[in-house]
Amino acid sequence: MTWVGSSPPRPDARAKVDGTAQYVADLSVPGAWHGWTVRSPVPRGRITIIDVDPARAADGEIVVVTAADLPGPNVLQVIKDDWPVLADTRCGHLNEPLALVAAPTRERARAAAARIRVDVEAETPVLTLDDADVELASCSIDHGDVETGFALADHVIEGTFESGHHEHAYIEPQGVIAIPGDGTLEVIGSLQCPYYLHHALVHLLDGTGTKIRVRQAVTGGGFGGKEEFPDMIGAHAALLARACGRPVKLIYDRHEDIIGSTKRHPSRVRHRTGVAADGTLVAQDIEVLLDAGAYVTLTPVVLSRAVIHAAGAYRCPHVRIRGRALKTNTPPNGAFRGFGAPQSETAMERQMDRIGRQLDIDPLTLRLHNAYREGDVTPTGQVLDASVSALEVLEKAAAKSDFSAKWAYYESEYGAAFRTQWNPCNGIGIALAWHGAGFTGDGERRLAAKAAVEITTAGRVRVLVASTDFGQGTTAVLAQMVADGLGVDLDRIDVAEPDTDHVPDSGPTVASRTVMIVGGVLTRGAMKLGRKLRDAVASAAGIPPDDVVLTDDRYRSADGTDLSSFDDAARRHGPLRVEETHVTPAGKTFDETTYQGTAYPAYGWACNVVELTVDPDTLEVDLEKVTVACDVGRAIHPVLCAGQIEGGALQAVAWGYLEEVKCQDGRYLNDRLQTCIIPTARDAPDFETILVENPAPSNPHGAKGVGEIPMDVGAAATLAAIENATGLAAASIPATPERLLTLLQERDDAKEDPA
Amino acid sequence: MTYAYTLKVNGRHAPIQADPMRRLLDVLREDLGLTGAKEGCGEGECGACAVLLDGEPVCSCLVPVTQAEGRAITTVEGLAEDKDLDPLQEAFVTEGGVQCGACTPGILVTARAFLDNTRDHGRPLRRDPDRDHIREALAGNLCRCTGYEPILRSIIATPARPPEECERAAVVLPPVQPLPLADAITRLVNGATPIAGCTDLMVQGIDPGAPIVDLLTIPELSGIECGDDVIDIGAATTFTEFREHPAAGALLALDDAAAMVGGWQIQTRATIGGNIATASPAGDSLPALLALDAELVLHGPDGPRTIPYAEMHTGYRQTALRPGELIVRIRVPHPPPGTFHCFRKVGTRAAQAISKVVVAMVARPEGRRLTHVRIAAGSVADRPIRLRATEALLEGQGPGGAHPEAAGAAARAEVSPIDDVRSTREYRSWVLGRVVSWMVRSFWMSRTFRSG
Repeated sequence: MTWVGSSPPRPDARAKVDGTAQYVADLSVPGAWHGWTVRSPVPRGRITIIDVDPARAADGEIVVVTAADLPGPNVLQVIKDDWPVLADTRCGHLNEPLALVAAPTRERARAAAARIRVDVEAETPVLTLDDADVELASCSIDHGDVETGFALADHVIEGTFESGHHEHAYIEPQGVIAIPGDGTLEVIGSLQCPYYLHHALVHLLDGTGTKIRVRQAVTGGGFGGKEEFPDMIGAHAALLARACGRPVKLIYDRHEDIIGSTKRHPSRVRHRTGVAADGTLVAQDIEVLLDAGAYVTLTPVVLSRAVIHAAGAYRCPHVRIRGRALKTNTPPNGAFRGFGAPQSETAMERQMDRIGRQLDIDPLTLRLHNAYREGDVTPTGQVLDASVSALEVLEKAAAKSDFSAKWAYYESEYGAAFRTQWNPCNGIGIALAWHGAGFTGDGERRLAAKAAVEITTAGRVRVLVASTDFGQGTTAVLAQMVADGLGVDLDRIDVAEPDTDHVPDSGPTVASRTVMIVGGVLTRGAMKLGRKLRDAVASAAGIPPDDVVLTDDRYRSADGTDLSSFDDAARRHGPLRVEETHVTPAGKTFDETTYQGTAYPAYGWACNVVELTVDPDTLEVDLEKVTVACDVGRAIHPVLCAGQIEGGALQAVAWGYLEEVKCQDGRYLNDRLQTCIIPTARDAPDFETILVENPAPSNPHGAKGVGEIPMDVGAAATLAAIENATGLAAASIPATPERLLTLLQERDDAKEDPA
Repeated sequence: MTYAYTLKVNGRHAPIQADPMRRLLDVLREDLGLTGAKEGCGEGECGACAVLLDGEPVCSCLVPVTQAEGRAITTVEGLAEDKDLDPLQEAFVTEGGVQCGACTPGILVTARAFLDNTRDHGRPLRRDPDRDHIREALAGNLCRCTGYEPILRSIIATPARPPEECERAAVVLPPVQPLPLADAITRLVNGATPIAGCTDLMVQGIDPGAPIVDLLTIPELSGIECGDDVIDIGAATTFTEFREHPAAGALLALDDAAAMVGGWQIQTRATIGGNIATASPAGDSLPALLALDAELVLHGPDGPRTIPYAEMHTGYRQTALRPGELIVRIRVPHPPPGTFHCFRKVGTRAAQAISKVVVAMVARPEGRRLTHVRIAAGSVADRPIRLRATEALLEGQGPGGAHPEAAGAAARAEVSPIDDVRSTREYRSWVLGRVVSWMVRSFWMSRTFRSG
């Protein structure tokens, strides 16, 4: 049988349901002390004093680390060397780490941290995009000639969309344990990218000759929040462990997690679209603005993805996109599922609805008219030569949800009458997404991801990758792919713990790249390994290798003679190992200066339809149903694949109407789960998930990645549904009752005062 | 100082030494090595730390160990029997109910309690679990990975247990050493902190070794007596106990409020008296108690006294309680048949929320007139308040004189809410008016249907 396409139990499920799975906070490390972080009291200023004496006087046992104690450069290397491990002379945002404390108990560490006196000469902070003027990243795309395009347009339609900070809210907060040894340092953490942290620690302890080892504990959710931020908390724990000479646990509580960790970049996207009378897009002029916060982190890459996806899944001959990310004195923003694409695609989908209303074309028809077909060319000049499913996902989601009939009915019956209604008003909204899988442009070529597969003498197959499972099911799907590559039973496969001492660098677990890139490397490696063992069996039997086949765990010759069991072959010829490196197909290049070329090897396509009601008395939104048709190329594990789509869709939809991190004067006001709201089971809708499988020829099994695309346009479909129900078009998210009330009052004022 | 406790965890006795107010979560994880329950927030919002206490889900981060002694504690580690997974666990494995797994232990124990719950309080139906019931039962357990859909599928796919096994899972309350009321008051006078369900106290934080008085152990504070004239509710009654009691059927405004207090794990612990004493302007049950004309029996060093509940809240989080005084009983006049009850909470989300505005209305129809009108609201002032001008406008009016829109406008006119992290002054004012209008409209519609 083949394992790909089936849904066996995930290997980590048993330990997760019986309570034995060990997350970082669950690990018992004898003699470990506990860390706490001292943070800046103002968003911007010059640090004049960090006085640890009062803390030492109260508790003589504590260990304190400040920037002065760093053995090497005071910088976390992400993209630019601007992010200090501990601020020393200046602080760039509120709650920036200034010093670290370790003590035998968490309570003592916390108490000591509170006694450390910090004086900062406050300076006027830059807090909003309106005030910001320092550019931390920029990029642009020019396709065709946008002025020519506008000259051809019958209508020119403008619109602006804004979004704020967005919290990952993984259920397990950030945490690491650092364990010093003799010339070694081991860090175990809740993280997505062991080699990122490895790299950061090597740099941090440069010159000390320390050998670094990073291991991933069972990780309770990431969504991008545990991509680069563990570099920071991991570095902190490492410094404390070095200073104490003993293990240090640095486990954030929820409050500290929210104030200390990165968020999704706030955005402002401006559209100017030229449209022909029949609804054909002829010109798009788009400006994407991101609030980077105080440091660069991954911002240039987030901006790049936002810009490449900004024109949506629609063909248009003349496109100009300008992207800029600006510095503010707010906490730095970083990776979050979708990585910039949700901001720019949500803006685009709202612009499509605006166009539809102006031209009186319904949302589905307008999208079907403009959506990409095979052979179309993207703004980066990439020809979409295969696996283009925009029309199919639109049609399938629309048919399943009966979109057109409902939209038209609610539009006529309800929208205009809203507020005179006594009952909740129904609305339905649709949105279309595309998402490039894997790193942008030449990223994968540069990264050259590695993965290894081994056969032990006991007949076990070990998969060695740095790709991590933080809920998505990585270990399950990679094991399936290796089992099929080798032609063996899934029960033989063990996916090794991500441990930089043992697994090669497969690159980070981000960007919907794991199945497509690492799965591809592993599939090739497994096939090569299978051939190795088969060749050994053939050679021992004295027959040509091609005459030997493995079926049902036994090697047989072409005439059916039984040669060996897999176990015996492994015992005789093992251990065997194959390490493979990712190779980007020739001819697929991307120019990072002109932003022209093959931006991504393949694109996923998704259509979200959101059905909801809005209560006219409270403007509360009640989600009823979300239908998602998503082309994933190939669903390696359909149950997990649907789980990704449903979980991602709820995050996206809730980002549209519910979830909001309020940032005032550089401070997150809702800095605990009581006020930082995410949906409960009662808020969540029922889901209808349609897996579409149009394989990408270049990819293993045709799979195109599924991690991020569910996040891209759920918010847009939600806003569209609210507009369908109420006639209120929110231009910023979330569309909370408070924001809808403002729109309602503006509409009423406009009615009363036609001037 | 620490005390010796013997906890009964997953059917085994576990002796431990701990401060009385140490969190049960920490005892389980650190002292007993049961790390299945997770800390996701430390304030009872996420449910990752949920365990069962005598078969009912609680947030173990909000339970002081002193209140767990003698009670049957079930953690996720106790669901499987030896190597055999509970069918519920099996279903989570096969149906994709598990992703990152951090919420899973809390969800599993809560779902097990839901499926085994054979009592009738609006939540049941393990035989044929309905999606809405499951959603309500799990409202106190946040999941960020699944969108909840695979979790619902997993629970629905779980085969029902034979009733006798469910009964076995339900545990008889152990005898508690009762604390005489007089002793409790003496201790309070000496500076001890009163504790009840601890769902606010443990969030605010308390020294684990602080001297305490456990109000759940005072007999005078427990039990509900449903008389013809008065329904007399012990201050230490939990919202779950109230919802399960027949009296809830007579006090519908309070019943609806109780259903909106936190998630299930909070309702099993939080007490009505605690809700009053905490005196939050956003307290869910408080407008209902105001609208029901409740009165409070207090006991202090000078003996008992009775005050109208409307005189209880004297300012922002301030009460009329004197030093050493306790709320003992909540007495609510038994509403005559036909009384109109209406409750509406406008929160930050559909469940497990803090209110932006919360309103309760109770009134009696007399012929074609509206009488005995009581309307009360929370989150619109520094304390829960009666909307007396609005009541006066409506009192004794017929359909022509008590227009819903006028009532809404009157309600808006008598409050001046504030901006905070949850909402805005504008929205609160507007939505208060809309909700009051809706309630008055509902009153007239209920009359229409009754007479028609």
